[in-house]
Amino acid sequence: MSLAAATTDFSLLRPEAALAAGLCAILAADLLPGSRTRNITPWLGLLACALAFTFSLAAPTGNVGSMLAIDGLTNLARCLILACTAAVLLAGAGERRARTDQGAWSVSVLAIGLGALLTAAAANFVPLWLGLELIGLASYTLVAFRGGHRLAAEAGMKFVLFGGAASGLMLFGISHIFGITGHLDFVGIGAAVATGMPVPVVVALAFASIGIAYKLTLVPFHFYSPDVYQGAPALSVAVVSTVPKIAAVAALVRGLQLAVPTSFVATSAVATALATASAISVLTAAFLAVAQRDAKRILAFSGIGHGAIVLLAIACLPGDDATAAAGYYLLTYAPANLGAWLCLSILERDHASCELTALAGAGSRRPVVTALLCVFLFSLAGVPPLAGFLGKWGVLQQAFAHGLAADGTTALVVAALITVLATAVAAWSYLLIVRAVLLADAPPTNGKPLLAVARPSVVVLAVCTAAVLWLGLWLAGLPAIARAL
Amino acid sequence: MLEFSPDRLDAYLAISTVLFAAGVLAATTRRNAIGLLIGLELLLNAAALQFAAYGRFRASATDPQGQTAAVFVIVVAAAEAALALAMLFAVYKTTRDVDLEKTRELRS
Repeated sequence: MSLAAATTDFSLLRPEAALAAGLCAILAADLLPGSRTRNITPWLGLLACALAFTFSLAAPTGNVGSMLAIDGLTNLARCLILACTAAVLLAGAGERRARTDQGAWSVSVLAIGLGALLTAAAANFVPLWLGLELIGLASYTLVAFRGGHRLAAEAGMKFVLFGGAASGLMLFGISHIFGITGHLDFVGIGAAVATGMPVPVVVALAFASIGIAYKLTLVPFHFYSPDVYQGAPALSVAVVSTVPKIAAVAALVRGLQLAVPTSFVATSAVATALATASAISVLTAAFLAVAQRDAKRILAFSGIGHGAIVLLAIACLPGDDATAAAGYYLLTYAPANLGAWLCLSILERDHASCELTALAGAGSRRPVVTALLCVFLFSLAGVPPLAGFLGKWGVLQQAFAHGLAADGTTALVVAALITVLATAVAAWSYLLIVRAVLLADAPPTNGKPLLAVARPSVVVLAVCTAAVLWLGLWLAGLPAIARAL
Repeated sequence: MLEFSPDRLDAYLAISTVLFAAGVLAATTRRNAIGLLIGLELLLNAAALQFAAYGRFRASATDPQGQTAAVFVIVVAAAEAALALAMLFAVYKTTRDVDLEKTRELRS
């Protein structure tokens, strides 16, 4: 499609425009003197998120040239991304109050949100790559956001170097796809390969999906995440581990729907490849998580495992049921993950570390935060009646239904069985954290009074808890999401 | 037998493949973070060159998609290099070294 001929309805992009305006407003407010304007910056970001969220609810659908596709999937991803971004901004407003770098922090969080919106709506490889880069650049900054802290600096360096390599490999694949098919937009690529997928295109597509695999932390592109999460401030990880995953899943679903012909997706080759990747990731994550001695590393491996389970849902494509299962899984994962990292951020401030031995006594010093942490961890583990259970149930149900059908793919059934096994192993790793915070003997306190949990954080924790409890009982959730697609 | 001239796609593809290989080699074997960063830049430049070359030879002349993509790549690569150097500087300030083996403290 010619760039000049593309008619563009920019009113479709109101959520993105609201977020971009919020970014500019924060940058401007940060230049004003005085600490009061700095403390206002997260609230400005929150306002932008609220505005964008309102625009995303029942937003009109359509295409922006051949670049972006605004459909039910986009709007669903938008709402989830904006809610998570807003939650982290709100928590930051309390936890990081009166820091001199508050403005830069808010900008980075909001930029992750904007990049995720762009990625989730991308119908062309250029905006997809740009969105992933925007997420990447902002998350590299957030990860290193502990001035002068040695581990945070090392985490940031690792993240930016490996992220850059993943991005370079992805771009190389995209340039070959462009060379072979003559198109960068998903629809054009799909039309060009409609009659058959030549091997070079398959290889190039595999390269191009590396960027997505990096954001979803799939094996073998997962290795950075435990190191990075361990060194980074827990509040930064809350957004870095949640929002990019949502965007990457939306982009992967759209890419598979548009760029890869249905005849090819429906064949067992794609399903087998995705199911195998998912099974390898989920097994690796579960077994490595049990061997960790740091709560942040355990949660990092948990993130790898959860990314793999979403991939199992995507392996069941085509069909809105599979997309809905992936979306519902992310919906149940996001509040539990955000809440767990926020609790860890509060405990990290008390104990100066998230190593399991250092967390001893947390249960008696901060009973409520510890209890909530356990609720979030149980949800991540998939214990009923919490949200995580229904999410896993939805994905496994899809995998078994598609795998056991007459023309189904056996790999889906195998991967689903492996996921069940890995979930049981991963549950043990969550119990390691529960044991460390609840059962270990408390060391003698150093007499310093505990800082009260900031009021905005209390609100975020309350919302996350309510979401985890309510989603666990919302049996009509999956069909409701399928209808929204 | 390949004949290299500025009017043939092969020449550009050959150069970009060499750049890509050099980038992968640097990114995988260098222990110094600066060397790794140079490898990354080579990877991105290989892709940018390929976009421009494919854009000139494959797509129609009225549709500069490939060239546009190459410009985007150059801009983002600059931003990424700036950020990566800032990170390396932060590491250097705390450890006085940018050797990936020597600065390594994050491990299980």
